[in-house]
Amino acid sequence: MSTTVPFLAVRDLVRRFEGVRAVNGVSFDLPAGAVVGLIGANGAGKTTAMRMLATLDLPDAGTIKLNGVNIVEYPNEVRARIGWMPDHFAPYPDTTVADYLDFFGRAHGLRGADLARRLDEVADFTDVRVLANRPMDKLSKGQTQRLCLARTLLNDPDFLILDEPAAGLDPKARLEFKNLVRVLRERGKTILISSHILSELGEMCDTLILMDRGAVMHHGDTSTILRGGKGTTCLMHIVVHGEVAPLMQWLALRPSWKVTEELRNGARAEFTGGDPEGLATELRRLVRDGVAVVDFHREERRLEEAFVEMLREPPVL
Amino acid sequence: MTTTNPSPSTFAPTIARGDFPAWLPAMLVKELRQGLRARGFVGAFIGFQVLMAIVMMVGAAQSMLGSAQARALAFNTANGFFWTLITVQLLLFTPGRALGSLQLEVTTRTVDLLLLTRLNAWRIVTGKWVSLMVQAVLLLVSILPYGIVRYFAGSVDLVGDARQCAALLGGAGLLTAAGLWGAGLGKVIRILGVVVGVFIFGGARGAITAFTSGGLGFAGIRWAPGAQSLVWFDGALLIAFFLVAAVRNIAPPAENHTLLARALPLAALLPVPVGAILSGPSVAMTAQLMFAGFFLLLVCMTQLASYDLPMSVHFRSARRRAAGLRVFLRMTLPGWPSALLYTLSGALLWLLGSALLRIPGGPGIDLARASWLAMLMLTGLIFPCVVMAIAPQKARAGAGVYMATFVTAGALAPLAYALVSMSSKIATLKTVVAVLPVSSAIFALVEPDAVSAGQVVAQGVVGLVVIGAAWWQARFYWQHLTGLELRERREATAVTAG
Repeated sequence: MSTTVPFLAVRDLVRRFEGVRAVNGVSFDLPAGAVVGLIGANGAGKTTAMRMLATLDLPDAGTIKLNGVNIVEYPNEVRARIGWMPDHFAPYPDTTVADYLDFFGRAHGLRGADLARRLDEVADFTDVRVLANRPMDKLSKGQTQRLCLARTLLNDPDFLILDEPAAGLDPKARLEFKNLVRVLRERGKTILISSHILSELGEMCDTLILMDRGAVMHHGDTSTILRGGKGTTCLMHIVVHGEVAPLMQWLALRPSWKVTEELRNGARAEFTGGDPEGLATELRRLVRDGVAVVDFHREERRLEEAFVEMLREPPVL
Repeated sequence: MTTTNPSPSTFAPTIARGDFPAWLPAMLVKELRQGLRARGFVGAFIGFQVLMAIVMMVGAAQSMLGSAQARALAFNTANGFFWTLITVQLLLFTPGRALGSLQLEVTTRTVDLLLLTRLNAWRIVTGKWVSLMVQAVLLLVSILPYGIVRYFAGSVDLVGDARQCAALLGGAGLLTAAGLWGAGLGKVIRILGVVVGVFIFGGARGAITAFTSGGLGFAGIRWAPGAQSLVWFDGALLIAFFLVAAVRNIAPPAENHTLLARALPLAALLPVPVGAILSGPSVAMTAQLMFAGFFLLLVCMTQLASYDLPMSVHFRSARRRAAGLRVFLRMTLPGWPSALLYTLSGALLWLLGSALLRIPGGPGIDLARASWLAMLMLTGLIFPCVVMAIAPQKARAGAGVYMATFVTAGALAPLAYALVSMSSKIATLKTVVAVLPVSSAIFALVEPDAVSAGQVVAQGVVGLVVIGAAWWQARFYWQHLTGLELRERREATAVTAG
């Protein structure tokens, strides 16, 4: 396989439900080994898009290629390479955790020693060994999510699609889950995660895809999005010694600055002057003009703020 | 995340090399493990044992202490309980569990997780069916000792009882398959199905007793020689039909199960030439031909009602085949135009079967009349496709447009009968309706001799117009198929060149 072929290539994906375009011309590429977050409000089309990527739904138009294989036309060829963790998990009645994993291992074609080895691996990795004889409908939410991840990993997939995996988890379970994703990334898995808890996605993901009303609004690496999308805007936190008024006057006179918050010992201001060189020139001038600056640093936006801001912008084409 | 040291493997006992489950399909193992622990199974198992033990003890006490009349009563009571429990278990309890079992997988979307493994829809459905039948047999076997105990209370026909048990198991297999199919239907239809099933259940025991004793259960009619074997054969085909229908309810679009669905009525037709050649025409063969005809009608309806388009994956296996086989494989694709080819071929085969039974001295079939009837049936089956093709795109999903057209066109016949019976002034209405699609077939079945030569010609013209229109409207399908084939070929060439 040529190295120029992206691991996942999605082109002009469209899915309609009763006339409404739930997914409307979505296109993006994912490189192998990336951890990608899919962000969007309820009804943005995240789950519909993920179901199509998992070969569980057919698009009305568009193509999805996993390592060059058209998964819309040949879903059976790629299913063994996909791990799908849905946003809701219905336990089987009258089934223990061990039986559940044993069944899915067999359903993936594992038998005998291979099955035993794989079950041991995923049970240790997700820490479900101690739950082996528990009925699966008597597990806590965190335990259920671990079991669900164990099931997802049984066939050792290259591509993991995790739909709202952290929903309903307590802080400890969330931390554990983040660690699991980190380890999976180290093992070279390509992971697509959707979540409402945006701060967590910011920490886990290399790249973020923002969806709204079925379309991709933004697709870029996490740090760029947190620093202000296109790199033309950044938020500076400036601390002064003594009076704040000289700083506020200076900022008010400069057209490339906009005060977003006046603080007790300084200000938070947005610089829209362009490149890092322009910012350096401005900061030099601030000191030269006699403002008693004792500290300044660039602030990252919270992902929630970035998300809300980006929703106001036109989608990427 | 903490990592537990691999202490004695908790999973090991269930996965030892060469263990019994390793020999069985994964879905069957899962269903058996789940089913044998289910409260429904355990409760029924214990309940049946307790009930039969009480009935037997009461019966034994009556037999020892009472008169001959009391002993006869005790035997009849024990006998009644024994058969009622078996019938309830096999014909109500097991199909009911089938209905709930697959429905749960669909509503909780666990079926998605199954379809992402190596299991396909067929393995899922058959795994459930086999598991339910195994559980039914286990329950039956658990009650059998009481059947033998009855021997001491009165005269018991062990061979007859075994035949009845086998017939009940056959019935359970059929109803369980129907239950799995019903799981994919709407709630109202499911409830209606259960109500109808309970009513049918009332007469089920009598029918099965009559069947195993060689009669039809009414008017003293006896089975024709060989007919009972054919009933078993046809029952098996019907089970397969319901299982395929259940598979279609859950199968993703990439899975194509039309080949099996369309092969079943042709398999039902197979005993006709075999029987005609080996032992000549007989009543049993004529009945089999009729059954195959109705079965073909049913399957053609379900297949023609689909507006699905084929995917590349459906005809990939056909690409490197000989031209003749490729034409045949075009009859196995999803969607009504492919089903149209199949319907025409099926009708032709059915007529050939009719011709084989037209041997002098045999019960005979009027070939001209059979051909005429087949033509009218074809017109009726294909006409809704023509309507479906011009219906708005949104309305085509599901079988709604096809079924609504078929039922409406069919309802014209009884309507015309009713109106003409009220006023003879509109007698021409009947003449007109008798040449329209669907209703013409009903007229031909009800009043075959009342149709004039002019009407037959008109029916023929209508039939040719309907089939021609359907053929014309099917162009989009074949163009789509050609487009897919060309794209496949282009991509294959690009890969080779690359």
